[in-house]
Amino acid sequence: MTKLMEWLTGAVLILGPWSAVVTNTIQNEFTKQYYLEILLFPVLLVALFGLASVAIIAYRVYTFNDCKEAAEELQNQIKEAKADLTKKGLKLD
Amino acid sequence: LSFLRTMADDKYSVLLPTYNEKDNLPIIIWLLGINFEIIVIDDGSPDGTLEVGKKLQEIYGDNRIVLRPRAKKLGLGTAYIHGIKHASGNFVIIMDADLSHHPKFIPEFIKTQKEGNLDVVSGTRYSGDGGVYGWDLKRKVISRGANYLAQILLRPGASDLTGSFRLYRKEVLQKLVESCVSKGYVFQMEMIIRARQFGYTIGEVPISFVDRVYGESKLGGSEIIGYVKGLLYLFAST
Repeated sequence: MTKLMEWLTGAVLILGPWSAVVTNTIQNEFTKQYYLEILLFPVLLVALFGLASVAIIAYRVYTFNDCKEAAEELQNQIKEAKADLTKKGLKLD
Repeated sequence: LSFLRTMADDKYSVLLPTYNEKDNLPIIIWLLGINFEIIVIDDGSPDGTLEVGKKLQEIYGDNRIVLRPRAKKLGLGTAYIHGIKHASGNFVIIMDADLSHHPKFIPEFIKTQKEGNLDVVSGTRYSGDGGVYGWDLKRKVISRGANYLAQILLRPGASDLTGSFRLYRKEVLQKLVESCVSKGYVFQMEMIIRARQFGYTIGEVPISFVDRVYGESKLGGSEIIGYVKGLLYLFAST
């Protein structure tokens, strides 16, 4: 099953019962009492996912390692390499 | 019998696709040193990268540095195929020639591969003490956002999908490149996704990525659109 199929399957599993309730195809005391909440449930899911995603991405950007030492080490090694290669006969500008 | 293999049995070839890297090529070869067979695949660079490669061959020997140029820019996938044909190692390391990847991580790749008898080891900027130097906030947000989207949609089991600093068993690299259709950033993503599809084992090593291309916008709108398209292709087909 492709990832797309997995998501479609999941969507059907959630939206199937949901649309049955929302269109009053299936109803009982519970669905009548909480009709509005059930109707808005997918919106809530999407909103929660959106908020969680923003939080996760913000956290990962904030904790993204900054490799300052690696950059400095590279700068030094470039100088060293140029000096060594010039000695070995390579013309560098 | 694989546990009987010693270091002497394994040989490592580094594939170095180059385009206009006449200044960086000597440095990366100096950093790589004498431990690996280096295969330089230059795509007809107008800046004379190939000539620099020839001079480096005189210094390091033409059994260490193998030049296998092509007439023009033909893309990364075909560069790998071309490089593999001339690689005598049983393991292949792919990396960028612009000094954003540092050879000092290669022993770590090798160690990780041996420990897990892995088919693929991928360098990651997003996990452990991996990281990046030279990116502004916008670039970091785009990078993390794009990676997050890929993680959600593809659940690939690897933290860095678009990285291009990796170690592969030679035959694994061959099979994967032949099975990939994407280009650019998505090509590297597809390699990992296909590797999982084929049941290859994948490990990770945190790496530092030093971006020295200042002032140049490497991430334009068209690249982002291309990435999303490629991501959706992989989402729908794997």
